[in-house]
Amino acid sequence: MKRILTQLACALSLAAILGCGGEAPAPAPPEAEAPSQVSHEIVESTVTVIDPEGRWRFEVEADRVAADNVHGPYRLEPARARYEETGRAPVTISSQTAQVDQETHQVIFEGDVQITSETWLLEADRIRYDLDSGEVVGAGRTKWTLIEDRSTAAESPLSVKGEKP
Amino acid sequence: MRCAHILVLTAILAASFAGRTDAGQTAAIRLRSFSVEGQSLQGSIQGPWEWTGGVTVSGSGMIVKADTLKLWLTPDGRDAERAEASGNIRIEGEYITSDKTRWEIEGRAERASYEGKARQGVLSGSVSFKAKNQTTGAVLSAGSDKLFYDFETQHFRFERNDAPVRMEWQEPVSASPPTEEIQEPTA
Repeated sequence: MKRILTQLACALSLAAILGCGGEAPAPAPPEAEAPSQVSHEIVESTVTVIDPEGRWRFEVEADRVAADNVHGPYRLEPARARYEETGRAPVTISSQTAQVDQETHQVIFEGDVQITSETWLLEADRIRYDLDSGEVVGAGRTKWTLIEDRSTAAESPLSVKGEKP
Repeated sequence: MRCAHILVLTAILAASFAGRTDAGQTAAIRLRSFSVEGQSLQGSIQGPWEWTGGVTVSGSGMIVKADTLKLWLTPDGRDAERAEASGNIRIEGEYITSDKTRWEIEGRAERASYEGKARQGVLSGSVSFKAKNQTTGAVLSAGSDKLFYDFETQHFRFERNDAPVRMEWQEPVSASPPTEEIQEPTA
């Protein structure tokens, strides 16, 4: 099923903030050349993407958000994201940095990426998340772990030992 | 946890295989936790996921390696709805039956799958399986085209050309030295 990206709240929130007087960069020192692009920085901002039919919602926030210009891409660090879909357990994402690109509709999480749900954990060096399709692509090392369900762990009649590393 | 994955399949297969020698000792096992490691992952944020370019599944003392793995979770995320692995499947590890007997497990196949609704797992394509009793040295083994395992009944069967395949039982080699005569060198 094709997922439709309806709102890049980055366009709504970040761009709005940037366009409405977001924090201006410090003036360049006299001896330095004038920068070709204005660098913007926003503190404690949130990017939200919402399904128009209300089935899912993706939100990523960071302590620090920076962009070369109003069109982005936006760099968030450290990044904390949350994906919610009707009828399913929410998924949270954390990473050292994230880059939100309005042009490609992609978010790239890098550095100690951890995607978690109630029952599983996905660790990776780098994860690319497509806002249109909802797909994730992990290049490089990835480790997915089913987390032990402690509520039913005692049901096992057998103790398995000798777990290999 | 009712986790049902290829790893579970192999673990239970191993358990049933190993426990078959003693009636009533077939042990149920529920995999509480396992992990999947690979170099290339793709899928939806909540699954299913597909690993290509080599993948290793670890848990409950077993390690399963394959070229590719695709994993679907149930909507609540607490169990595998379906799993498919293909290419150079290698299974190894140690299984301990309820009577504390340790079995060394080795298996090979070309494909493996698990269906959550049917609670059935299948290994297929040049299947070979061996379980060695680490105490006595006895070996149970079988080679087939397919290996079916029913997670509800814990029954399994090997098939070749749609016909049942019997397992082989190999008694351990005696530890006593061979009675070879030593000939005196002739002058």
